[in-house]
Amino acid sequence: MKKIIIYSLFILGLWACKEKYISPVVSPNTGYLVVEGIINSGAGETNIILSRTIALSSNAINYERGAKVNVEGDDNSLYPLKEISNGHYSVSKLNLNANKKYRINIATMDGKKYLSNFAAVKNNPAIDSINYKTESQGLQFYVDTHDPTNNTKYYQWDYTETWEFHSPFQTYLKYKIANSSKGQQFSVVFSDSTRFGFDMGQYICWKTENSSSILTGSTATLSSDIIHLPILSISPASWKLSVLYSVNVRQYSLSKGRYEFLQRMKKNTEGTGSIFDAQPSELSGNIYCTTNNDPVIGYIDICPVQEKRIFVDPYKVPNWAYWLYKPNCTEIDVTNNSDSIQLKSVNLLPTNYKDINAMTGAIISFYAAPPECVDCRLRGSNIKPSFWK
Amino acid sequence: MAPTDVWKLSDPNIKPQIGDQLSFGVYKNLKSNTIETSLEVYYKNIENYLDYKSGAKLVMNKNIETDVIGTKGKAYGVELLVKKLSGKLNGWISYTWSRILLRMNDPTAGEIINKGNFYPGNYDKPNDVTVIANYRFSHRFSISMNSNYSTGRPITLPIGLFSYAGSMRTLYAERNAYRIPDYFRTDFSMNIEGNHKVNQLFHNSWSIGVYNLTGRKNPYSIYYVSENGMVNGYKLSIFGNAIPYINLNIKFK
Repeated sequence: MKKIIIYSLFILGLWACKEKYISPVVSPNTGYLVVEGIINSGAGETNIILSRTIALSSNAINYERGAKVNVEGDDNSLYPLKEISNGHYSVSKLNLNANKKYRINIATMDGKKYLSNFAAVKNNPAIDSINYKTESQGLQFYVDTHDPTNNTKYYQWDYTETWEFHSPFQTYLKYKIANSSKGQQFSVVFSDSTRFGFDMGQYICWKTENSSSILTGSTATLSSDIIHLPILSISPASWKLSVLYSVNVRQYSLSKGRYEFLQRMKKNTEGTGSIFDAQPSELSGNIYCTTNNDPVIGYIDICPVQEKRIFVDPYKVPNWAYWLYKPNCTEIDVTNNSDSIQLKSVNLLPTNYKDINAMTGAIISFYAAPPECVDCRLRGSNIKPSFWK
Repeated sequence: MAPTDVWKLSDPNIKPQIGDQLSFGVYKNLKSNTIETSLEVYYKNIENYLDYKSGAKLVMNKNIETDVIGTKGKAYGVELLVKKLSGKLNGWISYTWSRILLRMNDPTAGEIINKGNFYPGNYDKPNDVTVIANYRFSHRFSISMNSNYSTGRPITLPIGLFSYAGSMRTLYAERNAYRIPDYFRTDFSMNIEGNHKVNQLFHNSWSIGVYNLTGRKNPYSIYYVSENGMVNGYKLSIFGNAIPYINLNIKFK
């Protein structure tokens, strides 16, 4: 006991010595240019995202708008990219010549020019398969790829997950608000005249999420260029795998330079926060500012991007433990008059009737639940993706 | 010494460190040898001084040789010392100005650090002042004080954030481009001796004093943590307060 007290005092003493540290460093207001993306030499889209580094104390991404972005060939060919949303520049179907070299040419609004080094088009084998296994941490997805010529060696992947989900409650009712001399008068009515139709637009939705970590793989130390790597997982009981789930994996082949650049960035920025962290480092890539010596973050490579989409039906996954996602989803019952609606359920959404007048069909009382349990648009979008089954 | 330091012998993968040193000193004793003064200057050329590669894993790394890199370096400085050996007041004052600069600019040996320019080594602390003073009131009571000031050691600081591959990421400055706050600490003690009889089994003395008298929160480490989407810096100090102590020293005859 005595020992515990002494140790606690010691630890308290250490705690008292942890202070907030304000860095003496001020990075320039406009920030350094960050160039993210890869030139897709194949038929698909080339997406380049431009942003600026921000101060440590901020948290909003500062996208670089209005820049002129071009892919340039060493044969003087020029392919302009169009800004399709803030800082997001895109072009489709470049179909570049595999025997030429290309680079990126960026002119920003502030009059500065940036160039990457010319790089050759790298071969990128097609993804053999995306497959999954039930493991202790949930459903684990693997990517399988091989290059029979043993030339690719460095790979990067990213992915977009999309899943269909349903609201825990279907809604057959809606509020009707009338303005009277006493103020707003609430009541509920059937949203469909047949009384049996529920609002599908609030019941079936889709949610899309992009990967948020750097996924790379290398076969440089292996005798053959064969990849079998875990790429993502879905934790047990996740709402991602409730109705139907799909993931689209994109594969890039990398130069050794870009691979090392990404490895450094990963070590610098993923899993830091202890005194035993990796040695941090600045990130120099293959892009430089030709106007002055401003640092630039980014590494541009060129390859045909390979994609593969798979669908997973939770009912076909062996031993998949899923229960319907219900964040505090309980229903209460409410009498259908303005006072009790305003008192009990004005922040809830009506789901279905409880009592109905058999003669007139008027609703006497009804059930209501928190909005996120009724209206799926609060957690996703009810527009069906074009690729959905 | 950093918490992440590892001792490693040279082996077939790690070349031994080589240093060539030149030094010059002037020594002068004053007041019939009770005061010693000295001034020394030195210059050292260093080969194969190990530093970490960018992104090196520092702890529990079995193949540490793959994460270190041999750098070329130079160290130089001036040391001044005044020492009083006897009398009621004795002690010394020293001032050292020293630099250790490293350079990794060989692209065939691996990744270049800081564009191949010289950068401060991890232990580069240009200014160091040490004062040690004892004052003897009597044979049984004396006080002593030691103070140390040194420049904070170099650090690789995060200077900003950026978005890449779906996450916010930290941007670091060049290797060792900044310094942690300077180090200053004063310890004070009173020494009380027991009687000075010759024939006794024990010879006891007491020390009562305070470590870090000024309570300065000297940084032990500075680290950054991602909290709620923000990157916050923290300074951890050990002995960040004045710490009083009492010692009983027992000497056996």
